[in-house]
Amino acid sequence: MLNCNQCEMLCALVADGELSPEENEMLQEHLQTCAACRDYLAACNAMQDLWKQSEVLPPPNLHEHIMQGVRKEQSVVVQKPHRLPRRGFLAVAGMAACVVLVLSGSLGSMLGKNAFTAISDMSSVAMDSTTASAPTAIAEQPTAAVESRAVAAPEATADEGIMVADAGDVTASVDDSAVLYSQPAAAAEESPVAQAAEEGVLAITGETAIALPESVSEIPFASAYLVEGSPDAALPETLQLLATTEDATYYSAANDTSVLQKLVETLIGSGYDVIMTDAVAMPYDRTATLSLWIVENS
Amino acid sequence: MTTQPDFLSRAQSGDAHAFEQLVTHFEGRVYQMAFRSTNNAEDAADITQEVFVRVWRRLAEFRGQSALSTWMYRVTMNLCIDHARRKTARVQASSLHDEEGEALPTPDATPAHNPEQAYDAATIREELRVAMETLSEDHRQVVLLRDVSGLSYLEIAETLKITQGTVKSRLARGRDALRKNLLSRGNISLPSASNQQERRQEDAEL
Repeated sequence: MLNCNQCEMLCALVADGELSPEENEMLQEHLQTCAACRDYLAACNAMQDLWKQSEVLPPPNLHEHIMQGVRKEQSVVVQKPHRLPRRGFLAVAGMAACVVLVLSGSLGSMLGKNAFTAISDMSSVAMDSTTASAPTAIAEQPTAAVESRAVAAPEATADEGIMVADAGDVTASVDDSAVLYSQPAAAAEESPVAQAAEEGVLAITGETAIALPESVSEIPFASAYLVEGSPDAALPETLQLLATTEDATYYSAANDTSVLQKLVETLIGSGYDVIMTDAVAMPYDRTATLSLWIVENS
Repeated sequence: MTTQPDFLSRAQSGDAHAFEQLVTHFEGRVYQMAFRSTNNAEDAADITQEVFVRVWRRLAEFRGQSALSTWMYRVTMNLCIDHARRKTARVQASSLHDEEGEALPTPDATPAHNPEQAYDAATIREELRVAMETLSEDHRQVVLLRDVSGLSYLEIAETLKITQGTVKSRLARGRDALRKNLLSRGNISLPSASNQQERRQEDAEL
C-alpha cells in the first residue's frame, strides 16, 4: 500500500501515461481511500491543462525559415588546403598510388564515399609527377577500406554532446563551418594517406565557400569534382554547361565510370588539376545519373 | 507504439526530401522548447533554424534516430542557455548606455488558438515562465522537455544522460514546485491541495 508521499509522486506523473500497470493499480487503490491525494491529483491535472492552454503556435513561416537556413548551408563549400610544405613531399610521393586508385578503375564505386576530402589538393600535386607511370593494378585494390567513414569534424564542443565517429582519429584542423571526412582507421596501417596524415601533411587550414547557383542546386548529382587551373586547352565536350557565375562555371556529365575516368584523364592530360571531391559539401543523391563539375574561374 | 519513418537513414543517403520530412517531424517540439526558453517568437525561430542547420552539417554522424533526437534537444537547450546569457549581457550593456540602449525584445503575443483565449493564454504563459525561472536548472530542464516538448521519459533520460528514475523524481518535484509557486503568486486559480497536510493528519487519526 502506498503512503501519501509515494502517491503524490505517481499523481504528478500519471498524466504522462508512463506508469506501469502495477503503479497505476496502486495509485487507484490509494486514491479510493485518500481524499487529500485526490485533491492533489486534481491540482496536478490542472497544471497539465495550463500547459495545454498556453501552448503557442509556431509562426506560419517557421518551416520555410528553417529550410532557408539549411539551403544556405547546403550551398557548396569547397575545402582548399594550403599547398604542401616541402617536408611533405615524400609522403605525397607515397600517396600517388592511392590517388591513382581514386582516379582510375575504382572511381565509380568510390563516388560519394567521402574518404578523400583531405587528399583533394594534394592529388594534383601527386599527379604532376606520377600519373604516367602509376601501376593500374592498384585500381583493383578493394575499396572497402575507404567505405567506412571517420569524421574529422571540428572538435565537438562539449555542449553538443554525442558525436559518433566510426573509427579513425585523423584530425584535420579546420574552421567550424565545415565537416570533413578523412581516412578511416581501418585503412590506417597500410595506407600512405593515413601515414601522411599522421605526419601532419593532411592538416587543412584554408577554405573558400562557393554558393551553388540555384539552377544547379536543383539538379540531383551523385558526385562532384572541382577543376582548377588555366591551361589553354578547351574543356572536353562531354561536359555540358549548366551555369556560370563570378566564381566558377558549372558543368554536368554522366555519372558513369568510363565517362568519369575519361574526363579525369583528359582534363589532367590538358593540364588541369582535378579534385574528386567530397570537399564539395552538398547533398548527394547516390542514385542520380549525373556528376557535377565545377570549373573555377581563373 | 508506431514505428517512425526512417527519415534519418534516407536523408543520410542523400534524399533531400527525407531531410525536409525530418525537419517537419521535429520542428514543432524544438520550437516549443526554444519559445518557452526565450519568450520571443523571432529568437525561438532563429534557434530552431540553427538547430536544424547543425543537424544538416552533422547528418552523417548520427547512428539512429534516437541519437539524432537526443542530440537535437540537447543542442536546443544549450542554444537557449547561450541566448539567455547573451540577453543578460545585452541588458547589462544597454543599462550602461541609458536611453541609447537597445530595446528589449517584446514578449510574443501570438494567440495560441482562438482570439478570445489570446489574453488568457498569454497570461498563463507569462505566469508559467516566471514560475519556471524559480525552479532549479535540473528541474526546469526536465519539465521543459516533458511538458513543453512532449518527450518520453526515455528520451529525456537519454538527452540529459540521467536515469529514467531520476527523470521521474525530478519531474514530480519540478511540477510540484511549479504549482506551489503559481499558487503563491495567486494570479491564476488552481485547485488547491494546500489542505493536504491537515487531511492527511485527519486520515491518520481515523
